[in-house]
Amino acid sequence: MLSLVLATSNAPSLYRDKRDWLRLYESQLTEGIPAPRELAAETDEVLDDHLTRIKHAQAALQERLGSVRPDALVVIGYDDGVMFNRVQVPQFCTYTGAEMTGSSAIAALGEAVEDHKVTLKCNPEMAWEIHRELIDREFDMSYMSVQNPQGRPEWGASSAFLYPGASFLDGLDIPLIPVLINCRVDPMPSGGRCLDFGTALGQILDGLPQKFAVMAVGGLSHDPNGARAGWVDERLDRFVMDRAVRRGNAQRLRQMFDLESDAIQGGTGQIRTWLAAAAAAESVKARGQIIDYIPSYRAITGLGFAAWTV
Amino acid sequence: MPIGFGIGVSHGPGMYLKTESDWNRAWELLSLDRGVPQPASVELEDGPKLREYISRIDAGHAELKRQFDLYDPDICIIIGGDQNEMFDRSNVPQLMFFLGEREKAEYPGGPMPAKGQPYSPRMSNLPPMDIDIDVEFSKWLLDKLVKQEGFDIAFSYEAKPLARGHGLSHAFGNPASYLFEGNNTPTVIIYENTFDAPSLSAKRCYDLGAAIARLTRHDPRKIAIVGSGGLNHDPGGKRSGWIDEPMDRWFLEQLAQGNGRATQALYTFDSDTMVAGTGETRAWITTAGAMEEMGSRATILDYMPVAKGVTGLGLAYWLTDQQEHAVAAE
Repeated sequence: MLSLVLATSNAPSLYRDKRDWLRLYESQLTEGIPAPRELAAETDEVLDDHLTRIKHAQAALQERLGSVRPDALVVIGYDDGVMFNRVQVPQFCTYTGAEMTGSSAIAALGEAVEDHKVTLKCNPEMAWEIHRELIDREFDMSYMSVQNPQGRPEWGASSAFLYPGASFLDGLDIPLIPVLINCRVDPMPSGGRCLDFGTALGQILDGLPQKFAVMAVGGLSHDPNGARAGWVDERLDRFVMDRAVRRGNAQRLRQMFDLESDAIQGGTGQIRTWLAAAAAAESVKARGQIIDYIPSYRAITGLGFAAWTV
Repeated sequence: MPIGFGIGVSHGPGMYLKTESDWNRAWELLSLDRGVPQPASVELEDGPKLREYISRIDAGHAELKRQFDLYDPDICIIIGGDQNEMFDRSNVPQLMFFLGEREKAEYPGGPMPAKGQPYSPRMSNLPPMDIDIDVEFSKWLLDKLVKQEGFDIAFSYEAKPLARGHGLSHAFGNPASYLFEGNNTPTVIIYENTFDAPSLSAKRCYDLGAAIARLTRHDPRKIAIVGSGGLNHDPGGKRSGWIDEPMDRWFLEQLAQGNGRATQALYTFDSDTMVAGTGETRAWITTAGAMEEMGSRATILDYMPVAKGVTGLGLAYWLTDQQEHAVAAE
């Protein structure tokens, strides 16, 4: 049974105080790209307001998980360059290990890997069942049952799982089933493929006896260290949230990655995880609600938070 | 020209053993030493019979090589699987393109392990061969398959064997060892999960081949496609030496009739007969999908259900009509 679908952005700023925001901001810029005008409007008061809203949004995600109490949470994330580099980059990958370990330390803040160790409890049995069902439905899933990170091994696993795992998921005691979508290295799956994946996932989970929740991690528009570093495509973000969340029409976004464009490069490619989650939600006719959307120029990301309830 | 020539060929290590005593040794290691009760047909596999098999395999390899050289492809796509060589449990793909420019592969036909030593596919002591990859074409094809055709294909720029292998898996090196003798045809290396359950459906494999053929239809170069592995076998397993001959013969008959779509029925249910080495038959199915998209039917060169070789050994090729006329005109 699929009982709840969530989606959250994953900028490092979400997990640190205001005093760290400036250092994080500077670490994600690209030389020669001026900041947009909106940055100047982000005064101290505005930042305080953003931080309060972020805390409320994360509390809302936590509260929904707490009240539904799923047997497992399928986290649809992405690799950030830790797990895969040029060696064996999968398009879709099921994590079937018993635990996922790594560090949620943020290198840009000079944090030491050892000081932020994370261990996420997973559920191999359920992961394998979902994995088998996805293959049966012609999704060519890779699997990972032990960690052997090829990109930046000292971090262990992608921040897509470790950051939420170390923060608002911590203490909920819900086993995770991490699933990765390639959002980083070309060629990546199309929007249509991600929607179809989400639909299949939703149907599979809804047909199983256990209670599942799904959470997409990533997005919305951001391009750290890229051609549009610091710029937030609010128009794109609002369109995505409006169609995929508010109107329950994620299919409308089918073609958004079927072209070359600066607008869909870098971290914005992680919107694929939202497409998958939205499609899973629509497969069980869940109703979407935008929890909040904060176009944060200091965090260089369109920060989105959403939930779909059955 | 688009894809014009295809090969489906088993690659079992036994095919490269040249003496009866080596064959009997392999049989001991894979079946007898593991206590698997053997089918009655082993009684018929005496010295003369084994010598006959060795001679038929050599003739089959020679004919495939002859047809390959006649076609003279500019690019050779090779579909093959992995057996704990490239992939360990940290990242097992269903489909993967290798995108390095060149990689080594070992020659088959190595010495049999001594008494008491465990069996593993023995590689020759010859220095490994170099296999060239047409990276530009591979990337182009990968891009189209992922973005347009919706196949979720992993890719790797480095051959970094995470398990016990060296270089490319034996599924690629074994057919290359004779097909690429005297030439160094640039390849597209496509891993297909043929071994590690759960794996691709037969339909998925067929559809992949058909998509490859469609996408390359307007390429000006001559392209060959090789499906390496199969047919029915369970080496060292519960049914080592038992060959589902009816399934293999039915399978080959479908390909000979140009009815490869019917092979979708394989792997639709779990069974001792569908697992282990039999999973490699997927590589043939992808080749059939490509060749049938080009309107071709298979020529079955030979089929030998060798109990002591624990494998239903098949050798086949496809030519498109245009190619058949070209060959006839020579």
